[in-house]
Amino acid sequence: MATQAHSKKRVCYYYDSDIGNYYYGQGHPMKPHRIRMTHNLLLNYGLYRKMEIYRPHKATQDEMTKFHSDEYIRFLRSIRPDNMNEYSKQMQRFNVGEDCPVFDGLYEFCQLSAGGSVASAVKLNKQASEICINWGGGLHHAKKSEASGFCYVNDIVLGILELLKYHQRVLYIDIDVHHGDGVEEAFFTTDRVMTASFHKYGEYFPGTGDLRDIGAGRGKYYAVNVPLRDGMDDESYESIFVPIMTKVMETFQPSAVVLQCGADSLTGDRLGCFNLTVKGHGKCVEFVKKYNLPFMVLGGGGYTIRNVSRCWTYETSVALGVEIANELPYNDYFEYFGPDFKLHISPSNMTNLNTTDYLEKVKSRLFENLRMLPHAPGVQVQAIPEDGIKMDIDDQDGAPDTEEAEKDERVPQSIKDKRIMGDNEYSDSEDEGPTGDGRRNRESHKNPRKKQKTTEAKVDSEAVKEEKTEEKEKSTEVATEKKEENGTATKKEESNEPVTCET
Amino acid sequence: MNVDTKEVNKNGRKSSNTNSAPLPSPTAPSEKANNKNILDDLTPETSDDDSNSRKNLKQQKNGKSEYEEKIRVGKDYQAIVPEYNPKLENITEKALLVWSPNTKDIPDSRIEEYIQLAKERYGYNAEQALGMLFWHKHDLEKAVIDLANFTPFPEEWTKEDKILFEQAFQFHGKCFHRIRQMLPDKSIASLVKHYYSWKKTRSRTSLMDRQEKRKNEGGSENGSDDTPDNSDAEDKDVKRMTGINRIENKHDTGYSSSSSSSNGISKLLSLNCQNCKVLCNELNQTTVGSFCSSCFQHWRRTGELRPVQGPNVQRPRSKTNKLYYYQGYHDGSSKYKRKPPKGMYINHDDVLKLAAQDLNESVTPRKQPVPHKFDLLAETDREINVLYSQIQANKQKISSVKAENESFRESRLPEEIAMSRVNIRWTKDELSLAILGFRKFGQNFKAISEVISTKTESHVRKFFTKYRKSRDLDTVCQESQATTSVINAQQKSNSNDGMKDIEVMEIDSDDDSKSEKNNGNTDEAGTKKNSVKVQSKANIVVVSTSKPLKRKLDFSGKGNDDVCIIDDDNNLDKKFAPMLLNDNSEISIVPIRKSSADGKQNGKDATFA
Repeated sequence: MATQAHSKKRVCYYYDSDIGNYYYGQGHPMKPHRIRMTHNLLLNYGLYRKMEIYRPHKATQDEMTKFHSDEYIRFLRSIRPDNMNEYSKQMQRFNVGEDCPVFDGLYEFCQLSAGGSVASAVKLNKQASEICINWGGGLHHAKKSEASGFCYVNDIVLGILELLKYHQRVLYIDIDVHHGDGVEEAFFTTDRVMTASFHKYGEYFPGTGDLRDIGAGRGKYYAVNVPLRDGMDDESYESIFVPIMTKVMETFQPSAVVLQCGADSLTGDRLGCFNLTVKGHGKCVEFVKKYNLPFMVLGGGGYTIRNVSRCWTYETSVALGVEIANELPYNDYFEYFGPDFKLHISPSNMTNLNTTDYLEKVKSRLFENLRMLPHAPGVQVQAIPEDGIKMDIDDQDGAPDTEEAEKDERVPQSIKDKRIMGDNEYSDSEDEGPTGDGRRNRESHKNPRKKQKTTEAKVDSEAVKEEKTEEKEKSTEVATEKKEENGTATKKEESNEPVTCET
Repeated sequence: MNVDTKEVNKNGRKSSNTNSAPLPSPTAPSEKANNKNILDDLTPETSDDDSNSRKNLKQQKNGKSEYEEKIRVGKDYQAIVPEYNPKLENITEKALLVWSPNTKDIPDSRIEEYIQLAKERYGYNAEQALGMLFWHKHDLEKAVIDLANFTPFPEEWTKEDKILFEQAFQFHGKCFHRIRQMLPDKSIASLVKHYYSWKKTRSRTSLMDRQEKRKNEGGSENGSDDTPDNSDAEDKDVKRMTGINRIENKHDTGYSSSSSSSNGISKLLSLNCQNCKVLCNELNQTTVGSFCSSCFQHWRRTGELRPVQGPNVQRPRSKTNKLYYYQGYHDGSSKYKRKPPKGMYINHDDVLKLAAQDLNESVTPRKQPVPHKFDLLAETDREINVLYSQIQANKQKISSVKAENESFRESRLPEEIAMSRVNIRWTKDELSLAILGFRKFGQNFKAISEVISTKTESHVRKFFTKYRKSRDLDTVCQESQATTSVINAQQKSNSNDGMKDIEVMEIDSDDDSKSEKNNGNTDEAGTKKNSVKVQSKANIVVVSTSKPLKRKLDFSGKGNDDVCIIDDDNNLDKKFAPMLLNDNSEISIVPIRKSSADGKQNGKDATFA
């Protein structure tokens, strides 16, 4: 009811009618046909008419090598079932063959899936739409030069890379039952993308996604992993999804969100082991939608196809803010939905191995990690052109409020960590130092005056000494920060920019 | 247990992958170690995750944990993050817009009609129809005119193709490459598409598959790989369409059991088709006998024997041959076969028609398919589809109305719901609400519990039995009926005249209430009322009673100035004197003598005070 006010959004939907015709092979659980089933349901529910429908272009090799290695894409383009034998060595290398078989039209399938996600990102960048949906996307396991877990080309990474051109920070949320390792790996060392994945962990594919995996280098604390056990139900899921994502939104303050809606976390999935219903799954979409950020909704896993299409249909309706009846409309694949022919499914009686105790522990641990984050990184750092996107200014306005509230406990810790990281090769704050463009590391440019002073004071810095100066810096920084926070965001920039010019 | 099998399945599949995956597997430990080093270099402040990852690494070297993986760091793994530069370039969209929501506010019903027209008359599908509408910029008229110019190609799958596909599928399963060899003019994509639209409507083949699976299962483990999907299919096939399928199922299970059991015997028999007597090199075993492939196909599709001659032919194995369809066969499943599904009746004419077509067909060479029959069936099929969609649409309507109703009710009682949960103890508010409820709804406990909202129906019922005596709830309940009649009377009187000065009501404990209203100055009681709430727009209300009155009179509802109660026989119990009055109204109780013997009769004299 509360969401009603902002529930009507411009929604763009990307679908190619050929995508359902690709076939992974006999006995393979991944069935692109589910996308067509979803589409058909949307059509018969009358949701189709309420969206802008796009037929995505086929992503070019150029577009795909924005992330993937040239070699890998070249390989994908040339391999066919009839010439597989010539490529056996490369197939080994790129992990193509078993989970990720070579099938007819493999490359086109990847092109369409990636094309949809890239086009969605472009659409959001143009601010021509609030929500973009590509159920053919969401293939989150694909690595830079390796296929994995039924995924060949990581359309999500490509989409996020596109978004990053126009958005300082992008949040990626993954509610597939499997860990979103491909996306996490791609952005493991950057602080501009936060990846948050809720997945089954422990003796389960792909084996990554431990609670303690938090990112590396500058991206430390920018990977959030929520390992879960079998039998996750709606209630438990919400009890952990909502607080964590609320906190993430608060601290990270993304300007765009990508949600991977893998439907294998539903109850009764052929490969999954959670016990979510369509409603519980859809709540995640609802939750993100409330933030009114540019929002990309992608598909993903899901191997009991009748439930997948139910779920994605419902989630499309949620995105549109339209209520749809529980009775499924008659459609081309009506027989698939028997015996009840209803939209919603009920959970099974499997036991939920996620005790509240366990979930609490996970939650508190993650909160600890999130506390390490500097608030809204990059806001102060970014030298935004005068006529930058309005959105960012809004963010800045919002930032100081929350910052002030938690400043005391945050500043010492985060700065300490940042400082330590800064000494590493991955941080260019030291190399670029005060003369840098002030683009990235908050500390590196934030108070160039102070930085100059300290570097003057001691040229050679031993670790112990530096610790001390750090503390000094800390105090000065706190002082200056207070000053800064009193001023508006734009003032902040003005005051910062001349100084950087001086240095 | 479901979960278990799934787990196994998953683990089986994906673990095999991790083993074979070149990079993360133990076969490439050196590379792994390199990555670790990078990671270690990166984070020298040794958080616990690093030490842990080292542990993992060791484990991996030992080949112990195939699932422990680590995110790798290095330029080979991370994406290169582009510069943030909002005015970088003019972005061009490459996706093709095929539909956008109409801006002209065409009502949904009209679009629906338009789609229906396009579908039925021109064979479009909904998407194509909308595409046409969009092409004409949401101009319905133009689009309708143009529909005829662009009728889509009719389905490229002919009946022969379909039959061929079925056969090929039987041989090769879901190996579309091989199927394609039998249907070279079809692309794999179109095969896949056809497969998916066909798979749920076939029932016999799926059962055949199952049988084949069963046979295979003993030997190969690969078979199990596919079972979730197939069992899925079978479930629904069986559930989907009632009787017809059931008949077929019976046949098939019968067939399958016999085929497996009588394998040995059949080999001994001569290779003559038992239906058409043709000598052939391969016979298909069925419950009805062993057939040549064309007879078998026919039987499989129709469930009947392929007619080989005119109607008068004597078939050698008449007992099993002829009778099995109409009289059932050995396993006593005859009741299934003879009864059509619920609500469906065999129309004798239809049967004759079908039979006649059979006869015609039997004259024609056997290679030709049976077009007429299929036409008829196709027609009914279409009809069924239309009915299906109607049923489904109706169901949708019902459920949406239900949902609306639900939400309406919720919106009506929002505070109560928010306030508290169902609680067995009765608060004062709830008490008074309950009393009011009894007054209004009588013993309709459900309605009352809905009003109170913090009590369930059984709570209210218990409350009623408990306080029945002490609070005289029975009488309160009786009032409820009266109230409704008062309201009726009120409505009647309102329709009579707009404004009245005096309203006279007679209150009677008897329930046979009629109401009538006098305008003007009369104090004749034309009404017999048994009432609690007196609702009247009149300035003065005269109430007269003929029998002991034990009810509270509620005048607060309306802006009555004065109330006069005329008490026939001093019956008005003072205790229950009018309690709810407007502040500034006066009340007078006037005892009068009874003028007629029967209190129920009209025409009592009342003195107006």
